[in-house]
Parts: sequence; structure tokens; C-alpha cells
Amino acid sequence: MTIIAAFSIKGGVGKSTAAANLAYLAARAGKATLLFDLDPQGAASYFFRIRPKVKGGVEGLLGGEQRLQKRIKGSDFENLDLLPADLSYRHFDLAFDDMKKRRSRLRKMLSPLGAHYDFVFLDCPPNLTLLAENVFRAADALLVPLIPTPLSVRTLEQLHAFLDEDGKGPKLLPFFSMVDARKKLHRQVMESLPQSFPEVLATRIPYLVQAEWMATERAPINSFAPRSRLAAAFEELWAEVAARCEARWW
Amino acid sequence: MKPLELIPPPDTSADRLADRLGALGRVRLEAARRVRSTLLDRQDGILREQGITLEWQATPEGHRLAWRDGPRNPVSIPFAAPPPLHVVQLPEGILRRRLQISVGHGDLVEVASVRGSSCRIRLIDREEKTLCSVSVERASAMGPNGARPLRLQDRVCVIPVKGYEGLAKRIAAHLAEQPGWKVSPESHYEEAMRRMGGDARSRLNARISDLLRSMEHHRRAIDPRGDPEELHDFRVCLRRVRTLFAQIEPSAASSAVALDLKWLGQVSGTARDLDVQAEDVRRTLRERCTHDGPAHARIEELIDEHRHEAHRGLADALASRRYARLLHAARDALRNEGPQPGEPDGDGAPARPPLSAAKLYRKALRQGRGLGPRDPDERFHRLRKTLKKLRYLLEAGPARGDARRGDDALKSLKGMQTILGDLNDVSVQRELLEWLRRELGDEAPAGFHGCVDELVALAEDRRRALKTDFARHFGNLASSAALRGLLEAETGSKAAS
Repeated sequence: MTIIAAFSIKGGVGKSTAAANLAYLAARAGKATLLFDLDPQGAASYFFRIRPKVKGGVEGLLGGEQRLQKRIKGSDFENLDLLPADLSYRHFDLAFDDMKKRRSRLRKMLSPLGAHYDFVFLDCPPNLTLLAENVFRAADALLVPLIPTPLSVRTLEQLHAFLDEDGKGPKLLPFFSMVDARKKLHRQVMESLPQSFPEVLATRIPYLVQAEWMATERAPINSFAPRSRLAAAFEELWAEVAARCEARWW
Repeated sequence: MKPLELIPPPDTSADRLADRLGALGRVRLEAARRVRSTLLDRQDGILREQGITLEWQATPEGHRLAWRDGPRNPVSIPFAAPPPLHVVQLPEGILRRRLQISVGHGDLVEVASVRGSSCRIRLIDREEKTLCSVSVERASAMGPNGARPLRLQDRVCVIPVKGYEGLAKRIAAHLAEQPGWKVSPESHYEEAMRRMGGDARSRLNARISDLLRSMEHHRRAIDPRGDPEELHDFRVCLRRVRTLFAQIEPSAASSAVALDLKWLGQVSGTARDLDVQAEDVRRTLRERCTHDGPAHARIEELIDEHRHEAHRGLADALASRRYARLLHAARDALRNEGPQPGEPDGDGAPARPPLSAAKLYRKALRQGRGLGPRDPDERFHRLRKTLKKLRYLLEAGPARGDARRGDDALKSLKGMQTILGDLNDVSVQRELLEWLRRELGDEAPAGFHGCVDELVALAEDRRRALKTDFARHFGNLASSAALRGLLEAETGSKAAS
């Protein structure tokens, strides 16, 4: 089982969009996939028409594999299941804080799912809290969407510094998201950043209107607009991520 | 949770069913779509892997066998009626050869297909999320005698969605209560196999008979100067026969056959190992060895001598009375069906339990967990043998459950076997090289020992790399949801967990 978290300290950069589309593409490639919507906003759950409600809230997820399994919902797409969001996820930090080995609870919680899933995608909320530290311990790789602007780049530097300090972090897979190639600033950042962060993925996700249609169609882009440029970009991103997973190129 | 299948009253239409289900919630009827699935004897899904679908076509002009092999043009060949019962029974000739070329394998597989139409009714919630699907399926089996399709009973499948299983059960219970409806004990696939292929034991016997025939076919082509793959194919058939024979009830006759099969495996194994080594050492010497001169020729010559000697031993064994007796006894054992697997035999002797896929899987996990680069090759070899048995058993088993998942599961096993097979080859090569060194001793030509040392070092590098690679592959195997799913489908329980 490979766990990939869509994570960024900054909000509104395309984490949920990336997590939902990559999970869909993984499932379409025949991999048993779970999308875990950790963000109380529940955008990923909304994309898949699943009510953002989990019986028992955070506590309901922490009672062992069987309880966790019961809360997983099948999506309308083959091979793709979803663990929906819940408003109570805002208390994840409090729940973990009371436990032993509080930084590796999420990893322990997800490990039994290895028997059922090839990929688990985590759609994370934008912050750097105890939940985020749990995500770092649980995930094999962090997909970090970056809008090519100085503020977004700064959050990548912060994340890098934090993971270096922690010493047990996953591999970072940053990629440019919401790219508007007409903007000079975007072009400059995309040119300069890979020199200081060579791990930045080659795929660039353009800023296109189809990303917003996801919320009206309530489905991944590749299912309702498979010939769009955005769908092609996500296919390319998935190919790049899958190749790294295949080679365990972390 | 598997789909719940029901047999509806005759002429149940999707519209009427949608009306009936409307009482349980919001429904959406989707346009009818064609479904078509090809069911294969699970030899190793070669046809399916390559996307080849065979079709018997009955036209006013006569019968044709047609297939489309990937990007190449569709092939359609006239065939005299009536069509053969099984594709494996195709007579020798251009048709068989063309099909073999398309399939890329000399051993053809038995084909049966179920095809039909279905329409789907989705039960949805306010968000339009599917909570359960119900499909009405009409199908016919186009089997090995596909020119005369076998009409299968109509079915209504209630397909649960994870997290909403309760609703599927409620719908199935609701429908089963209606007059004229009944719960189906088997799927379309199972019905097709039952009606076309007889019971499980007959299918097992038929499978073993086919394998024995293939084994004989490859035996005739074994030649140390010919294609070494013939011996490989012979051994694959032999290994499959051994695994399937373990599923047959014990008796004095079948135990003797099992012992003879083991003997044959050992005799042919030496020759096969040397075939592989001769090729591998020759390639390594040519491409990677820095030493040159007479040492190369001497090494190749010695291995070839050794190889020919092993082939002579194999030829003697295959021409021996023991081999002839083995074939005879194996066919006899298949004819005398006796008690079912796991039951005591006629003399009241304790039954040898048939191989259990779930047990083999657990054994493999025990053997493979914790294996690392420092562990002896013998432990890897033991794991290899267990995995082979598991794979051949699963391949021969009834193809229940999700076919794609089954393929994925077998792929993960094959991947693991490739690594372990390479590791075994490297191990054998090391032993062979040590033997060469001892054999020549001081009489070796100039550069011989240096050359052998280099080959040993290269083999050692490969061994290290393979053992490192092993952990990753084993991790994939141990966590393969597809394999567990297949095992659960085979055993009908959570025995794999």
C-alpha cells in the first residue's frame, strides 16, 4: 500500500482537486484506491457526492480496523472508495494529543488497510498541526501543489525546513498548480524554483475553468471532461507519480 | 460482499423492475448496454492478457473461427462444421498454427464465453450518489460449442455499494418475497460452466488430462540442440500436473503417481538448469567478462558437456518404463474417480488433505517474512516452491469473483516468481562455477581461474541485487488486496486473513 498525501500549509492551492483526480486515475488504472478526506471542509467528499458525515466522528475512526472499514463508502467509480470528511475532524489534534505515540496514530490507523488497498490518498487540511505531523509519519510521499507565486514558494520552504527538523518525513513531490502561463511572475517562478528544489515534478497543472466545474458536476475532471487540457495534465501528473511509486523513487 | 443474484419471473422487464424498486427509494434507469465477457480456463489467461477474444460464428455460408489480436487485423477463418468441442482439440493444421502464432503460446486454452445484454437501475440518494445497482441480465453461453448458444436463465443482480450493503440486502429480500422470484444459488458464469463443463471433479480431471497431453507434446520436441523452451514448457506442465494431482483423493495408485512425478521433476530439473546456465554463462562471458582467450572456450565446452550428459539422463528417463508406467497410472487414476477430495478412500485410510490455497498463502507469508540479503538461498527456494504451488492451484481453480482482480493477483504471484526464479538461477550458477573450478584444478588453461572468479563475482552482485529487490516485491505480494480477494473467493471465507 502506498500512501500519498495532498498537503500544503497554504489553502486554496488545489489539494482537494489533485487528491480527487489522482485517486480517480489510480482507480481507473486498476488499483484499489481509498481517498481519505481529512479536511473538515469536505471538498473531496463533495466531489464524489458523498455526505460529509462519519458515524461517531473522529472517535469512530479510532476504534480499530473493523470500525474504520464500516465507515468507508464506495464511490460511483470502480475501485475507488472514500472515507468521508466530518466536521469533527477539526478535533483530530485533540484526539491524538491524548494518546500514546501521538505522532504516529494515523499511520497505525491506516496500516490494516494495506490488505485492501493499493493506494491511499489523503486530502489534508491546510495547516501545520499535530494532524499534519501524523500525515508526515503515515505518508510515503507528500504531493505539494504550488501556485507559482512567492507566497506559495515560501510555504514550501517552511515545509522543507519543518521536515528537515523532524527528520522522519516522507518524500516531497511538489508540483505547480493553477498555472497561468500568461503571467510573467508565474513563468519566472517556474523557471527558478526547480534550481533550488530539483524534486519539483515536471507536470504543470494549468488554471482552467474545468477545475471549477468539478464542483457542479461533482465528479473528477477525467470522468466528465476527459479530452480537456486539464484532464490531460492530471493524466500526466498521475503518470509521473505512478512511475515514482513503481520505482519506490522516494 | 458479492452481488446478490435472483431469478425473476419470466419476461421481467427493466421498466417494470424500476417501477417496483421505486417504492424503496429514488431510482434511475440507465440505457441498456451490451455486456460481453469471455471466460477462460484459467491456464494463465494468456488470451485475456493479450486481449484476444475467440468467437465461433455460424453464418449461412458456414462456420468460422474469428479473433482479433490486438493492433493486428481481425482474423476470420472458415472452419468445417461442426466446430470442435474444445479449442484445445483443434486438429493440427493452418488454423491451429495461426491461432498459436496469435496467442504466442503452443498450448491452447479452452474457451467459453457468456454474453448478453443488461440494463442497470441505480438507486440514488438526494445527492444522486449511487447507493445500490440492480441489473437485469439476459445471457447465453457461447462455449467451446459456441455455434449452438446455450440459453442461460435470466437474472437480476443486486450489486451492493460499499458502505450501503444493508440497502442491497433489503432490496434482495424485498424482491425474493415477490411471487415468482427466487434466490439464485449460482451466477451466470457458474451456470455456464456447470452446463457446459460438468462438475468440478470432471473439470479437474479434464484439466489434468489436457496437461498430460501437453506434457507429452512437449516431451516429443525436447532436444538439447533444439529450442530449450520445449523442456521449460514440459516442466511447467509437469509442475501443474503435480499441483493438481495433490487435489485428487489419496490412494495407493495416486501416491505412486505423485512419487513418480516428483522423480520426473528432479530428472528434468537438472537438464533445465543446465540449459539456462549454458545460455546465461555464454552471454555473460561475451558481454561482461573482461578476461579473454582460451578460458572462455573451455568454460563453455565444460558446461556443454555437462549439459549434454544431463540431457542424456533425461532422454533415458523419458524413454524408460517408469515414465511409460507413470503416464499410464496417471490416466488410470483419473479414470477411477473414487471419493471426492478430502474424503477417506475405500480402504478407510486417512485422507491426505487436498492443497488449500489459503494455507499455502499463509505458509508463503511465514516463509517470506523477514527474509533478507543474509539469509541462505535455500530459504528463498522453499518460498519459490510454495508460491508455484499456490499460483498453479489458483489458476486451475474455478474463476470466481472479479476476473480483473484475479488477473492482478496472479500477476503479483508471477512477478514474485520471476525474482525468485532468477535468484535460483544465480544460486545454481555459483554451484556450477565452483564445480568447474574443482573439475579442472591445476589442469585449467591460462586465465581460467580468473575468468571463473569474475563470473562468481558477477553472480554475487546479481544475487545481492535480487535479494534487495525481493523485499519490495514480497511487500507488494503480502499486501495485495487482489490476491486476498481471490483467495477469499476460492475458499469462500476469510481464510486468507
